[in-house]
Amino acid sequence: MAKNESPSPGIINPSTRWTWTLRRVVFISGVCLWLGSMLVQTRLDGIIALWTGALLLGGLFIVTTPTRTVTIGQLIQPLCLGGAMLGIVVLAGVAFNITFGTSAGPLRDLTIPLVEEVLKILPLLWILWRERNGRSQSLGVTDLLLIAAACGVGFGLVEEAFIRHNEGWSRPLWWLPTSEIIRRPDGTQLIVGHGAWTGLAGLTLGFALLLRRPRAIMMTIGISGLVWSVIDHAGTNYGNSYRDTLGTILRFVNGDGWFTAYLFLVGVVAAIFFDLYLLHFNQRKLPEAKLPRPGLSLDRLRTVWAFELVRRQFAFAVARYQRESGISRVRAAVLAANLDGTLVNWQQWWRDTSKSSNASV
Amino acid sequence: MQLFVTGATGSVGQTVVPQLLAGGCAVTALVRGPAAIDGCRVIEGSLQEIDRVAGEIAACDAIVHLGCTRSLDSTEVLQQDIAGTAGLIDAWRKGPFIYASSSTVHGYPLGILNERAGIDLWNWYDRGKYANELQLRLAERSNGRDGAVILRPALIFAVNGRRHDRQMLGEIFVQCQLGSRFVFASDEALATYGCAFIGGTDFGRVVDAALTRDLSGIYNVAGGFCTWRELIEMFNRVAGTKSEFVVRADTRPKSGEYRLAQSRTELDTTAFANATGFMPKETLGELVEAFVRAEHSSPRA
Repeated sequence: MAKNESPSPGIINPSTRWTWTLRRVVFISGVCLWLGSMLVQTRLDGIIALWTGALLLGGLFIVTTPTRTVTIGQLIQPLCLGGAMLGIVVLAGVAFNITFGTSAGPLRDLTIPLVEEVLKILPLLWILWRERNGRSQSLGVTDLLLIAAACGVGFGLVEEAFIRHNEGWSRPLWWLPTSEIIRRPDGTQLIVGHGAWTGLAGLTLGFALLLRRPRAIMMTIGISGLVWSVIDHAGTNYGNSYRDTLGTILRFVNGDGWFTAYLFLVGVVAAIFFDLYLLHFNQRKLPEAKLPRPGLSLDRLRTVWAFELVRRQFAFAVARYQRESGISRVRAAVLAANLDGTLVNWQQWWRDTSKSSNASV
Repeated sequence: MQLFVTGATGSVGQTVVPQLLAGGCAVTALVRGPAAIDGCRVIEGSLQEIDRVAGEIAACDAIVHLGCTRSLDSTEVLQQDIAGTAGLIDAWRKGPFIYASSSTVHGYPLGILNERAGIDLWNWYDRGKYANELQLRLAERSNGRDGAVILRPALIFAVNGRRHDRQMLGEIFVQCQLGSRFVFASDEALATYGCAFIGGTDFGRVVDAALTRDLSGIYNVAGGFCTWRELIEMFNRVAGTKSEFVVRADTRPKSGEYRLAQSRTELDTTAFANATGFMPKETLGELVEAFVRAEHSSPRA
């Protein structure tokens, strides 16, 4: 390893070189078509929908800075996959209309939320499955929150833009930019938006994946966010349209949408503190996990930040290792060891560079 | 001191166990097949069914984990080495845990390596060793356990019944007997490339020394460094073989040729020497002579 190059651990060594491949061309074309057609048709409303989605994701990205391991770049894929899921929902809606007719409103208002919430979380589940022996094992709860929220925001962009284009904008909660407060004669109703719904589902899944045991309780916790999102979403759709007993019950259960907003807020805070605890507990024992002095140069800060992200991944992988059993535990041990090797290599690189800079002084 | 030892019948175990017995320890050895080891209590079983002997392990004062598949296959390493060590750690209740890792977790860089040197896990053998090191470091000094002593030995030149079981000394000796020519990339490579080594008996003394002190951490252990040329010429002298050297830029071996690792990785062993006062006793000459003697008395089939 050359002393002045950034460390190339050879273990966890993501390639950062951009190359034009057919896949990427198709991907970029799809994104342009997706957002371009939305902006052409909804103009300012589309821009506002983009802005509120960016505010929610950006806000979450900033508040989770002390704990997250995902980067902005890594949120692009779930964001776009979320958008793609809306296309599937539109097709599902067409299929529903063909099967049940357009007059089946109540049934539609109850089933579409279920379909939408499940489809929105699918990209996250796919990412977790695809990286099941690797990166999935080194994600914290806040990472899953961010990925899930990105899926939800991606899904909600076009829908929000069109709804608002047709129905106009109402005031959101100041701390939840994708939300919408609807004033009614009998009170107010809050719609938290797709980003918060899916974010909540991702949050509980994150807690369950990191805690692991007892299995039955963790499975319940894991799925509870999704179930709550479906209930709240159905309460919003059905409860808004129908003032019958079911609508009243749904609106009562979700507190006219306000419960979900505060549940989301509490969940985000809990996720940050939970991840902070794991990071502190699992890094304290090993000298290679010690953070070097950041220094004043931008390069130094950048390398320290890159080290910090690996250090966090290591802590989450150790947490998974300690809670897993069987072959999953073994795989978590291998991943944690690879990350630990990367930390050792970083430490050596810092020692070498500080020696060479001292020598040059 | 009652010890629980894995890998007692392996190449390393065969030289370590007699040293532990000589040091006054009582040894309970876990062996996979029917075997009798002088002076030891033998339990038949494998690391995969460690739960069965968890009570035996918990009763011991220390664990010496020498067992290893030495496989490069991911499935074997995951299911046997890493899962087995995880089970052993779960059963570890008290005292120290001595683990025979490998200096190859650093890869094969040129230079002198201390314990903090960079990690280069380029095959599943090394990944398994390093994953086990981490498992131990996370588990030590918790739930009544003492420290984990992770030994990273150089190549072990052991002279015993398993001396040809994928052992470097045995492999080089066979190539010398075949009259192979050893290929090197340059005159400098021929003059300087080689390996750090430690004699099997010396490694037994290392394990014994680690047990008698309240140690914890990773330690390089080696008895010395030899160039490949020194080693091959010593075999030629002691065993009467006639191997030669070829120097050319392209080191891909042709028929009748053999390529050794083009590296010179030396180990800085001062940390272990300072902690225990250990000094190696076996020299390269003694090890080669003992190996050739063993070959004459019971040649390889």
